[in-house]
Amino acid sequence: MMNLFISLSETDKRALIILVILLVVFLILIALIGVAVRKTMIYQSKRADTMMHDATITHVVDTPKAFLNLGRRKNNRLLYRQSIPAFLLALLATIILIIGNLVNGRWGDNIFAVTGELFFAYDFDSAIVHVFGIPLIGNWPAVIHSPEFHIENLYIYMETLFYVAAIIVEAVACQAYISRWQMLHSRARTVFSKSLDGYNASDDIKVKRDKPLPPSD
Amino acid sequence: MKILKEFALGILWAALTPLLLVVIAVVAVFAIGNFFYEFVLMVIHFFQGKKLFPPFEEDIKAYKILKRSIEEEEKKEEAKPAPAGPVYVQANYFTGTPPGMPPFPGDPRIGNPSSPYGVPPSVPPVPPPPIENREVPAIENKEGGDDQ
Repeated sequence: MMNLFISLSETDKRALIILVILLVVFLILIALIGVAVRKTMIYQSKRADTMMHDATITHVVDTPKAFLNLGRRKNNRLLYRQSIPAFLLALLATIILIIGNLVNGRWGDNIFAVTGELFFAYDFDSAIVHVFGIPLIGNWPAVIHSPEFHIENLYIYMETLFYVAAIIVEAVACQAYISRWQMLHSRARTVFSKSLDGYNASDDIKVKRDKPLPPSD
Repeated sequence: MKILKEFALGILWAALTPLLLVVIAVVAVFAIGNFFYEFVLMVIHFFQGKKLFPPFEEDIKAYKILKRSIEEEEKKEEAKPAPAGPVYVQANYFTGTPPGMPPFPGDPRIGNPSSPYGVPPSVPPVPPPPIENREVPAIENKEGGDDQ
């Protein structure tokens, strides 16, 4: 391995070191995303305990089936409440779409492609170089398209923004639903489980001891 | 070690994120149907005169059980007798002049016609007894006194 490293040219060594650093940074970023997702789901799942606490401690629900039944109904109702903002945003975007297209008659336009005109577009194909067979960005990519703002597309920009916001809000609500569902199933198993750890059946046996014999003379 | 464990779990969850997105998409389809179902239920409750989201029967039962247990605890607290604390008898020396004793010179009822206790018979003030001339013993000046 060291002989292979020594036989490489200086340029290749630098490229290899940069590749390793980029790989480590990439892994750290990916891990941070995963940690964020996991922590968010743990935080969202605690709502399930709040939902089921009173009914469980008072033994109104005393079987796993009854626990899951009530938990499912409460979870569905909470999903509905958390989905209301997303549906309102989508409804608002749809109203803007309908009114705008009734005025302009642009029913066939792709609203996301039109909104994409607000951002830079790059040519990544010309910038990619292959290092040890791995495609990496070697040069600054060329700009294909610069941002352009057209006032007649303003209603399309607004409805795209509202649709994207609705998708994000609904995705978070669905993630919370999944987290609570997983917590409910976990609690249904553990809350009503009984354990025999540390119990020994022979400890309960009470041996009737005979009276001791009087001391002999 | 905890950081390594968090890092490994982060990588695992990041690898599972595409699967999570697929599951979220499936749940989102269910959420659309659930939204309309709950909306119809809400409208039915509205026209029935109930709350839009009435509490579940299990929650009502749990609330009654908790309320009853709290009331029973409060009744037990009230039924407990108050602990007998120490009784302090406060001697009031100013309710009146004991018989055979001259009235206190500062007693406002002396000579006051509006006093509810009436006007005691006027008694001339009794002069205090004279201080007898006594020799004051000399204080011995011990060593280590304040004269140093």
